[in-house]
Amino acid sequence: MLIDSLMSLNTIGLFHVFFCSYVAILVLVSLPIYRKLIDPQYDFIYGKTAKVFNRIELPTPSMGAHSVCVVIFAASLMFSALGFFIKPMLLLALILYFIVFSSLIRHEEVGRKTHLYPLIIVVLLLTPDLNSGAEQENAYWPVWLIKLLWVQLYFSAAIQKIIGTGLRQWMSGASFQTYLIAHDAWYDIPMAKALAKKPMLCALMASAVILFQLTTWLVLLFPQLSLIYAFVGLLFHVSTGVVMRIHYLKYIVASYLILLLDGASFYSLLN
Amino acid sequence: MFDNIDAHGVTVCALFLLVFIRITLASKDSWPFSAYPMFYKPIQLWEPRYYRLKLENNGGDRHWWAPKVKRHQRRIGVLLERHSTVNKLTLDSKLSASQQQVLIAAKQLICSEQPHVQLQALCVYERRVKRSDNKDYQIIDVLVHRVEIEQLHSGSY
Repeated sequence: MLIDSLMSLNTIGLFHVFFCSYVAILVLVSLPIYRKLIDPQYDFIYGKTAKVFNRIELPTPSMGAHSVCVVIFAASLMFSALGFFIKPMLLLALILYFIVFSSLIRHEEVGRKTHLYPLIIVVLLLTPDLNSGAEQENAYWPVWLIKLLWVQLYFSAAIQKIIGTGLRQWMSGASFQTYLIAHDAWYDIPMAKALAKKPMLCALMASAVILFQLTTWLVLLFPQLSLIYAFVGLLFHVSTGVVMRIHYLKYIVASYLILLLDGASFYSLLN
Repeated sequence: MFDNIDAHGVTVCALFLLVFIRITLASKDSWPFSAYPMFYKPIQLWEPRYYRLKLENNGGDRHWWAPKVKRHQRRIGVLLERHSTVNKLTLDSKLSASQQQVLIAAKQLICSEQPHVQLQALCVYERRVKRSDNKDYQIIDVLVHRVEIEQLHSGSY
């Protein structure tokens, strides 16, 4: 019955269900870590809480109140995914996101990894009908816009590398190699050390990364490329996790759902 | 793909696109928007000092601090480096107030993770990277400061 009701949804409807469920489970599972990170003893080390748009300072909840906010945030997403008060629950989740994460994003454990969440929730809020069936053709723009959010992450990261380091310098691999050595110096990572000693491989990997990041916008024009870019992107995050211990995957995978669903829907339409 | 595009959708997409272009070109972070400046600066390995901590137990044995939240050690190292530009850490130097604060914070982190740890002293090591050619490099650790935990506790340093 659950599968039947899921199958009746279109791409954005399915994405809404999967995204909200995934994020709800993720924050609940991460609650013990969040409880450690929210500790006021970190204020001196990591600085104060983040401001919304660099301007709006939010109240810092106590450790107990923060945990309650995390649970309500997860519950509101789950209720929305299950179809209860879809939009009001999304709005509640949006407000709670800022309260929950304002004291967490200063930690590199969370950092920019959840930045897409509120933007995706805004798009879902603006989507005309999240419950419309697959037969009733909903507007495609919400799917396109969520893909744009995903594209911006990588494309902007590539532009920053070009502005800061220069395309040729980055593609030479020297900068990437230096970052690997720095990561090894901080964390003693054997994989980073081994890779840093192979300059040709560093150049190859650095070139592959910038090529991937600079061409992500292609998925906006050619949905048939979505699955390929999803695979390459996930591979990229697995690699940075193994080689540099930068673990984006568990947070970022939620946004990859749109590529997987859009790619799958494209191919099912073709068939 | 865009058969059923409507004015509402076009407006929303255009607004997001404009914000993204501005954020990206200005290299600005304005949570929840970000330009994602990751690995964008060319770093010079020869300039930065990597400060790492070794924990010394009552028997005099030392081992690298390896917190569960791995970024803690880097953050503490960065703060030590920042506060060492004015007052360089040496074996004989006196800790500045800010350096003391950083080490007290480190001690709190260590004790909150390992409440039963037998900690005698914190040893600050300066880690330098020596590159022989573009393929090989060596990491050299030099002890630059040692502080007894008791002294940090009482604040009498």
